[in-house]
Amino acid sequence: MMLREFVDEVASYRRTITVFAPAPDETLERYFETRNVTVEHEPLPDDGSGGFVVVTRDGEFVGSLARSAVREFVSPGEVGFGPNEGVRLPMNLLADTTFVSFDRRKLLAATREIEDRAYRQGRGTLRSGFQTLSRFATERDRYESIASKSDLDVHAYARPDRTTAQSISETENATVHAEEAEEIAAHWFVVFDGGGDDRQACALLAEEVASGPNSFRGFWTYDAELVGDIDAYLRESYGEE
Amino acid sequence: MVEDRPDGPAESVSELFDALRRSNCRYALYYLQDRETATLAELATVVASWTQARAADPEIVTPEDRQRVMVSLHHADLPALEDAGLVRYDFDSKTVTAESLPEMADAILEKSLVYERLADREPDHSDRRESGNEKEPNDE
Repeated sequence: MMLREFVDEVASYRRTITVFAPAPDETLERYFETRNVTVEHEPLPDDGSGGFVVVTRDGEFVGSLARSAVREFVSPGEVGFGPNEGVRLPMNLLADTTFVSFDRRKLLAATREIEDRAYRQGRGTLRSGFQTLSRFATERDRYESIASKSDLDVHAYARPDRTTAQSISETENATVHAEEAEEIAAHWFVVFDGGGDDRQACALLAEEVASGPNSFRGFWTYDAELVGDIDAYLRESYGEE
Repeated sequence: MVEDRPDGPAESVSELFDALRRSNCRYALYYLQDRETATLAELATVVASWTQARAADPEIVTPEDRQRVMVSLHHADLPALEDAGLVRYDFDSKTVTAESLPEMADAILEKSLVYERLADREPDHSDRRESGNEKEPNDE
């Protein structure tokens, strides 16, 4: 088992995204351009709303949302910082669909949403992959404050680079896993087990793709079973200490 | 044609307005304009999603929200459209077929679409109000 296999598994879910709008939406089509998500366009008379986006799985309705809200989220550029409706709603709609071209800024917005859940829940286990220790160093103060919730067990994973394991060892509340494994350097992840409440479980997992720097392929999920599997994989592969 | 209905022209005008005052009915008709037929399931998806997309702060439409719209379409909206002679609704196969619109209905719908466009995102759709504008952000 490898982290990448979780991404491949979710990529095998058959999802159809139908964009109901007066004209085809190329921004949305580009975002979902993967072999496992089918994007369709259905023409709609122009009533000024801009239309909506429907997600189906094997023909079953999963959910829908105003196209304007989805578009804002997937378009390159600014999203509001911190957890907000502009992030939460599209994340809910698009859970378990694989993305192919997220940049760091978007990934960070989605990540904050999950970290915020863990913080509000205040118990359970949060495991975050930062790729390199240097990147963890820049997030460290924030993670110290998340880990200050005494019933929240926080684990950070990263490969040593110019920042060494020694220089980071005095992190008080979080367990830092300095790992040489290739997949730790290649994957951005944040996994929260829900702290005993399955409805709070969520995970984001993304692999940096070689084709472009700062470009990621992956997914996020609210499926407690899948979250549990990723959590167990990290615990078993990299230990608890 | 509405004019040929046995219950007379005055009655049929009432039936036409009774259907068109419902936003579910108007949005079903807008959608059917370029299509001959649609299934009940398809119309439920479109009407539930489209009316929510017009809200000031659109929420996610869940399968339960869509189910409620489907029940309303099946029991109230589509029968009203059928009474007004605007669609044929097959209760068993749950398919909706658009009738060719009487001139008056056609003119009204064309105008009302323009007005919906101008009124974009004004939460003034009376029969939407009970169906969810008050929804709490479902944080879980």
